[in-house]
Amino acid sequence: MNSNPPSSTSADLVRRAVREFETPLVGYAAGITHDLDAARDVVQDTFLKLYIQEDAAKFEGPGLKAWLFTVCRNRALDWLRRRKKLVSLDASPLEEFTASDPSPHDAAADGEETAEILRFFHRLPENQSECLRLKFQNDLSYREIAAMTGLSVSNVGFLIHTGLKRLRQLLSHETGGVPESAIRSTPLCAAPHCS
Amino acid sequence: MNTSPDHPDFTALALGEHIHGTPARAVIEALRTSVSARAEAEQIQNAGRLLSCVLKNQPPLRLDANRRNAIFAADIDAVRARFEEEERAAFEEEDAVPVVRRRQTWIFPAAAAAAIAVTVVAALRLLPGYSSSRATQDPLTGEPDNIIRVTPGNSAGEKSVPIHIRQQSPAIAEKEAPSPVLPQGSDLPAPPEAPVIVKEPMPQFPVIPATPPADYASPPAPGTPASNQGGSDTNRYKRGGKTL
Repeated sequence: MNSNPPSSTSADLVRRAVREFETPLVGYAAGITHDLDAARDVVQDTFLKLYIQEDAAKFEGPGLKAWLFTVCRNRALDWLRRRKKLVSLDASPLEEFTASDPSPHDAAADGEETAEILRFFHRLPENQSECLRLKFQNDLSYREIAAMTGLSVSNVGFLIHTGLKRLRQLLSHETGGVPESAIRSTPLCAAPHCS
Repeated sequence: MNTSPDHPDFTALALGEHIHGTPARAVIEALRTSVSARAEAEQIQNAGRLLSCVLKNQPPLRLDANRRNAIFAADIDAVRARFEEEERAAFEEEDAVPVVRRRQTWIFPAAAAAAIAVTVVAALRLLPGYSSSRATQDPLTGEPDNIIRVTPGNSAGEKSVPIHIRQQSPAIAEKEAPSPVLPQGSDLPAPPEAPVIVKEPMPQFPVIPATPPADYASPPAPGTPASNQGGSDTNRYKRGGKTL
């Protein structure tokens, strides 16, 4: 069988996409599927789908990121639908990943505090945690999140506002608030990208 | 315009989102003038920064080498064929869903709920306490209870009793325990006695016969002098020694 390799343009595009978005996409898909293997399959299919896109010009600039996250989300939801899997908010495998494979940075940081915040985060409703993840983990704007999820910008704003407020309430109930000094003193937030 | 810190627009602006028009101006004005608004914005930013740090510092999840190599070595025709086949299968699967399952899934739960409701109602009707056929029976003897009903046939002069008053049957009266007798010298106050309902006969009013008695005379016509009224009318207009 004769194989048809992708054109250099699309191959370059996919290479760039894998290099930049592999990690956030796998993390995002795992947040939806709660299954790392399935998340990797979903992300692989997302990159493969990028090959067969006709108009490569639309992926210049921020369009690529939004497209990748949108396709990744749709495929992850398709996977969920096919498996008829119920997502449990209490037992997130992301917590298991954290526990089993801590990064050196996490090991140096106060793991207890991180685990506590993640525990609160996973108690949020699915739609709120998804919007917060897209906003604060993947740095997507309200408009991009709205385009991805099919929600209105106002609705995204409401979900982020409500989710953040709930998170703050949980944190203030447990730790007495989120003062700036506490964040700065956390070794976790001494990382360059957190400044 | 709502410039409360507890508003999505306020959170959006605090997080650096671009909002336009009146909401942006109002929030900016609130941030400029209000100390509490600035403190709230700072709290929102701190919470967002903390969450961002925690989420971004999770262990990186990557593709494994096999999947990554499969992406780079993909055959574009095979990939296209695979996704087309997938889409076709999805459409066929959607079309294969029976109409009943797709559109009328509410019928079965509704039918089940209706059947349960009918069963419950039927069971309640069969229970003795809810049966209307036993509603007028004495609970102890099973005999018909003495419910006095006002019927349309009551004529003038008969006793009329409201419909909700029941007369106590003799069987119930016999089974009632006697009131307790306190010992001599007891300080306890005597229990209140049960109220005794004395049924007094209704006052019997004289029945006015349809035909006047023999000694009845028509009242005098107006203008007739008192001396011409006749002796037979004395009883009618005098009672107890007084002239009425």
